[in-house]
Amino acid sequence: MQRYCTFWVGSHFLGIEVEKVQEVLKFSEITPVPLSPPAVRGLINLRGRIVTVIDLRRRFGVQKNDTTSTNQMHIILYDDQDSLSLMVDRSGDVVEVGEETYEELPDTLQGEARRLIRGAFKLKEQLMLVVDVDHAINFQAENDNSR
Amino acid sequence: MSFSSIGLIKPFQEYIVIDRAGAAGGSPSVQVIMEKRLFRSERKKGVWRQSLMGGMDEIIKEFLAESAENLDQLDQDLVSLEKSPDDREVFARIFRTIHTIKGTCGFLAFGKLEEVTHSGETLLSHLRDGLLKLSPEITTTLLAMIDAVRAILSRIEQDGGEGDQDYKSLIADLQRLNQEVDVKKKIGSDPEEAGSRPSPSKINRADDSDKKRAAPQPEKKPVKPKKKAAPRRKAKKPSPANLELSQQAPATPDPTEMESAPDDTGKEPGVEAPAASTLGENSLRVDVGALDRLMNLVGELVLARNQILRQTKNCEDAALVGAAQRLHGVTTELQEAVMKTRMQPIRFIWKKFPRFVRDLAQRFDKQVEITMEGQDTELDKAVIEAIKGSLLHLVRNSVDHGIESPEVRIARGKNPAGTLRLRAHHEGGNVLIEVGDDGGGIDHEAVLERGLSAHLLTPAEAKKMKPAQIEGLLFRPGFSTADKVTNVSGRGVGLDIVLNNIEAIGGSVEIQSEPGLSTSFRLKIPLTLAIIPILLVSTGGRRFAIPQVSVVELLRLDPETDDLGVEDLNGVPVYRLRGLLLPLLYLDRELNLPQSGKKSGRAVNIVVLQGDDRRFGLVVDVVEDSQEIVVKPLGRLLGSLPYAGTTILGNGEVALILDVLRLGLAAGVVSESRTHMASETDSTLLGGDAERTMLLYLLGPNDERMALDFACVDRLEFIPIARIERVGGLPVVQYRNEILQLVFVDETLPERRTDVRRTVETPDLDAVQVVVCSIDGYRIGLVVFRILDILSQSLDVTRPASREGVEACVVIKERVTEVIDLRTLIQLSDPTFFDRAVRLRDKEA
Repeated sequence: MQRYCTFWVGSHFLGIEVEKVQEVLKFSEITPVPLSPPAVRGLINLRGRIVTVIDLRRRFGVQKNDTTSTNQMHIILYDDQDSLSLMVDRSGDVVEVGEETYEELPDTLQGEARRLIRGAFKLKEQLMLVVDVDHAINFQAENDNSR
Repeated sequence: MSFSSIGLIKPFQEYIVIDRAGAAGGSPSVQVIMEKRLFRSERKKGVWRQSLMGGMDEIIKEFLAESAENLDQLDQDLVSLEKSPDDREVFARIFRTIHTIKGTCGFLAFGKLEEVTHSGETLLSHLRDGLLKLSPEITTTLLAMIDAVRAILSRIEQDGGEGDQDYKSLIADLQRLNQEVDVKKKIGSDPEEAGSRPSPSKINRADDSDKKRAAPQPEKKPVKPKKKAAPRRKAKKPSPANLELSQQAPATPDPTEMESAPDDTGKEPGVEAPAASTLGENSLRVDVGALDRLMNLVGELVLARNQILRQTKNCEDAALVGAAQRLHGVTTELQEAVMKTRMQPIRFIWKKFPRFVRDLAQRFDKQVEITMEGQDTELDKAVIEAIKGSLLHLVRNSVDHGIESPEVRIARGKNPAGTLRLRAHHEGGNVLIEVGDDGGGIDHEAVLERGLSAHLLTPAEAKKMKPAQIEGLLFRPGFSTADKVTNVSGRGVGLDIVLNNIEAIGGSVEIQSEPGLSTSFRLKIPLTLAIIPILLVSTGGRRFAIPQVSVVELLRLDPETDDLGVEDLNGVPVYRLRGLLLPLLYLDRELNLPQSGKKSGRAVNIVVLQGDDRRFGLVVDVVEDSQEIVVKPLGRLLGSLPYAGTTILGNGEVALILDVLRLGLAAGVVSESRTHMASETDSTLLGGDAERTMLLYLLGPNDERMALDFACVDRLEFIPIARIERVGGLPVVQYRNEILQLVFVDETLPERRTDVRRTVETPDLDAVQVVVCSIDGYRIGLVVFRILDILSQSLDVTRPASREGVEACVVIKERVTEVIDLRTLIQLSDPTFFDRAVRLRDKEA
């Protein structure tokens, strides 16, 4: 059994292995970083630590005006090199899933989402997509290419 | 970039020893290596106990950390022993260190390590017993043994194993040297001791006696704790560890040592004795990570304190205000104390140098003596980490290129052994570190030659270079590619990297060289990286920090004066600052921020910045104030942006620290200057060079190029054609309450070629560009077609003047350019100008 920290981005129901998450919290003050890649939302001050905020909505290409959520949450990743936070629309519970419900993504899934998602767990209510954290936080090269 | 190094700590050096009293009381926390070692064995008690409960990893970690430190010390000791072979005390230290490692690794079942150290120890014991004399060969073998131990230890650290290498040849070497003794001994008078390998009991005895001999030395005073440790360990551990133990436990009772100790220090016995016995207990080993965290938290506390102080400023409640004040005081002191714990004497890097220099000297067949002054000069741990590589580089440079071979030195009448001098001391808020040698100095000819072949300068420039400028060449990127430079100039392998590294932490590098006599590099380094003074500015509603190091001055242009003085030079805004053109950057434009509607009535704030030898002005909305801030590194994702880091302001807000150099580069003001002003910057910075002239570079309507000596240029103006009037056949314009006579350069000096290269499209004719010049105190406006640039050029006449009104012809940017002779030009246009002007002045007088 593996535990996942779940959240929503747009219409996606997503999950990250719980071990990779340091904490989930709400934050209002984000300092934008001019000239940064579009997916970088800015910096926050987490108890004296500077955390770079990555906007998962922009990573997943979710339209800006999709929701006017005020519940945006920060998933602070556990990483001793870089302090990173994934900004999501809404956070969910921690769920426990069995490997038997896991399935690779169908090949028909295309685009950026394909790279960001490793696979899916078939939960009772809905599919939980597993975010490939390494890809989600690594977009320097992709951005440079598109420029 | 620079600040990311704060978190980089080598695994082997993860501890700082803090003097408890020092940290608390604010006195310097200088700890001698000796004390550390003693203290460690004290602490080991606890570790042994833990091991019984399965804390094996913990022991190994401890073992690795202390072994690493001991090995560094060993390197130093062996090299110094080579110089003074009779220093019993140094010898005893060496012996003990190896023995400790051997003992511990035996216990931890690192067989290979034990074997190596055992052979080494045997050799050492022979040396100690006087059966062998220390020879360079033995020293080299012993150093090789230390390297082997180090290699094994790093393997253990990586994967817990000892690695595949078996060090057979090394062990064979060691044993061969041992054999020599055995042979000698058999022949000699002491047959009793003639065993090929010492038995544990022998080591024991030998060491005890050694201990006794060394006992009166002050460093060995605090042996008491060890003695306490002894019974417990003895009871629990079998042989090797046991061995170490009994060896460390002094055979003599403490009191005698205590009594003998004060004699050495010259202090009053009653006071000295108790202090000495508790020396070990006064130190703690602390993980650097823990200190970093502490530092971080203190930073936060300072911010919280600032908030509270602000809140209570207008508060009526006297008790609350009092408490806030107390909080203020305590926090400040706490901050200082924590900062102090991070300070380390520079000895921590220097101690590796004797060994390093010895190896280098052997490799290059040179004789080098190393002297060190100011080893106790303290720097922040992070700074030490950041400059380590650069120092090593400079030392290598000195031994490799600076100091000559013994033959050459003798031929030059010098001592065959060169001296490498390391000096460090505090000066203001900085530490000065000097790496000097008494070698051949810098060969200016060779440097120039190299500079020419690397196309860093032209032959004409080379001729005019002053010594300081030539030495400056060494720091140019691209000056040195290792092989060529090593052979040719003998200096400057990668010095640009040293310069970059030192500048990255806000320091500077200077060279002083006397040809044939000496070279020295002086590094000026800030005490700490973590806290720097910054200037806080805001633009587009955002706040940014600019490191004060790069701020030259602040300008505020008042809209009340008729003109802000910001001029447009072909799309680049410039400001004339004391005769020099200062390119301007608008921060909001550079960072794509919403522009704060440029109202003409608003004052303009310019922060004059120095980036890479080039000044430029940064236009911001508001200059707030200067502060001292704690620098926090920027995440990896934002590495390529023009920020040097981040910081948290008093209100908890995150502010970005601007990277001035990168900002300038991105905007082109720095790189642009590099291409055509590189030499100019050198000359202005390194003492000025009258041979170079600032020129206004002009374009004519038929693509011809002209230049005008910038010294006579007052202002650059756009004047509407409609405002040009004619008085007595002469074009004039009303300008700043005077009548300015104009000269049309195109008409006076028309392009004479019949086959016009190309005609430049005519600019809109509403206004003309006028260069307002001064000559003999009179003003005149030159109407020019277009101003291209302002540049610095040495006026090497490639052709004499082509016609009247032209002073000379030079090649600028691969185009033949006529340099205007202003006086003749005016006379061509208006032959009576100067006569009238003189008459006018006389009349006024």
